[in-house]
Amino acid sequence: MTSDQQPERTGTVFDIGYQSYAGEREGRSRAWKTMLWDSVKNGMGIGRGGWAKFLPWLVLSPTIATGLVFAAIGAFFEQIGFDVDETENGLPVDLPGHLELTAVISFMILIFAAFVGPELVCPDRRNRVIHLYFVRPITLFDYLGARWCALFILLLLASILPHITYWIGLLFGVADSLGHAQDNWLNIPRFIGNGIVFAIFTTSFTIAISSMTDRRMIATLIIIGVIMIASIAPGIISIFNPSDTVAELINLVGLIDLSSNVVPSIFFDTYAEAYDLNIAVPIAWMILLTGGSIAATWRFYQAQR
Amino acid sequence: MAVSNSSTPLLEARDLTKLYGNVQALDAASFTVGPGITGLLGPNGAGKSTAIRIFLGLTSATSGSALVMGDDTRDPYARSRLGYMPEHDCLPPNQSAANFLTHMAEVSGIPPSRSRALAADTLRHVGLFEERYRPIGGYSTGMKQRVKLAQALVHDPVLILLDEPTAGLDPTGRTEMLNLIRRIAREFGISVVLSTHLMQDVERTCDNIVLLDLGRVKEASDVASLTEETEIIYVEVANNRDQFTTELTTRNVEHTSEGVSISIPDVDGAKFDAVRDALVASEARIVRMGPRQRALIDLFRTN
Repeated sequence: MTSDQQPERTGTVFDIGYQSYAGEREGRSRAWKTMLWDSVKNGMGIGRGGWAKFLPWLVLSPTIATGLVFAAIGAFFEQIGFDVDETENGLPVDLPGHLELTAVISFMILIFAAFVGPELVCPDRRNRVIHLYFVRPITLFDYLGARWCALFILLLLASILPHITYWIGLLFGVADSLGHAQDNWLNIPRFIGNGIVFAIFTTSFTIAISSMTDRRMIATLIIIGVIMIASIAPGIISIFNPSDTVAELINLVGLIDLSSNVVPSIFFDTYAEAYDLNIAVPIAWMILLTGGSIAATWRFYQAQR
Repeated sequence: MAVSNSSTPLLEARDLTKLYGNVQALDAASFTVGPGITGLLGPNGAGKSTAIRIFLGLTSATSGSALVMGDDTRDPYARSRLGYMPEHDCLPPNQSAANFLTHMAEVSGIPPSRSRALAADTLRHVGLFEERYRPIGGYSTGMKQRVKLAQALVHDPVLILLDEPTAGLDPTGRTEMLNLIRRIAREFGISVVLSTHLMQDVERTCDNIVLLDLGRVKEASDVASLTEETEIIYVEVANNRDQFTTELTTRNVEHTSEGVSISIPDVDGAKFDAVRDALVASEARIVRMGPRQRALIDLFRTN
């Protein structure tokens, strides 16, 4: 096309230059919501690469699958003619319930927390993005609060989703769904309450350890190491045959046993049958561990600023 | 919350003192920062970064007070009107610049519906629009400096504090960064505090300076008055330099050699005639001759 054939210009492109922002500024509340949602997304790998999604789901999926398996076992016994709500009416085996489900999934959720917790706090310090947060309208309390709440939400969901799957699954599996719901409704506040306490403790503990290093994998290994060592230690001490009460006290050091057996037994009302130790002791121990973790995290970040 | 008006300084330090153990980073420093580009100048350890950290609310002063547009620096509202570009790396390598800036805009309180557009606009202004969806980890040093600058601008602050923004840049990158800083102040209407130990950056860019040395304010003035012409003339000759200086001595003209040029202080009419006569007598060919401008580096030489 020659220059003679070029169409006549009908418009002009203007660079309107820099435009000042005159819209709404939502301040700290927007900052907090953003930090919370960003943490939840980061924790589950949403909006990130395949590997970031794979790890949390790899650890989380078995917990939900366990709930399904428990429901399937119950439904199977119903199908072959047993009433799962009448446990003393000739069932050939003790069917696992919510307490047993908690015992099975607690370890998996601890491992899930060991992967997700460091992901939420370590990269900010490693990449030094954290300095950019604190020069904006959020405080250290907002920052840590948002990260803490995000992990708490994820762990709470990881704790109660298998129970919900099991509860609802069995509802569909049994012949008398309404009767089953009436007989078992009390399990709902029990597993939710246990899930809340477990999530508060695990979140605080995980964030505290993750605060000590800016390397994600090192934090994950330390968390898993502490859980393992704390769980093996009571077994080693039991070689010396301490009294039952002393053994139970030492067993509280085992984080797996504490979160998968001792605390759930309080919520499912079986503590008195299983343990001699005064119920106030494990409760006080959990409060101490959780409070200590939160205080350690706070002091660490204060010192780093 | 103080009401900002034209008479309220953007930043105000009153007897600001900061001690790190036995080390005194700031020693009763008092200064104000107004609109335009202000250079916070001083050698390493002068207290520049400490002053910036106090104004950003990252650390508190041992004594004295620091105000941002009349508000206490610990007030989140005060921080919402500031932007900060740190000297060190502070970018997530796996995120794209667009996503990172959107997130930072939201953390600054901008609603999500506007944050993405602001992020794209800001990246356009710093020259990274085409590259905005690439992971930051793959950017060059110059591009990373621009992302750091963009995150300080994305929420349209009143004032941005830049800590050594030309660090690590080649001469071209440095010129581009300084041009960008000038544009931010002149076209965007955002005031700038430029903390640096590079006096040439300040001379090329700033309207005002605050010179810190050993935590004290050594000078606070406008750059124009500090770089005005002096009564010193310099003469650079192509040949017969020794004869020229001999002729100056013969005529009792005080002079000093500074590299290739000869400086003659306190020049008045008679002395100027004597210099002219010395040049004629020595048959030296003049390369340059003129009044010398003061340079900011003189501030370090004096006192």
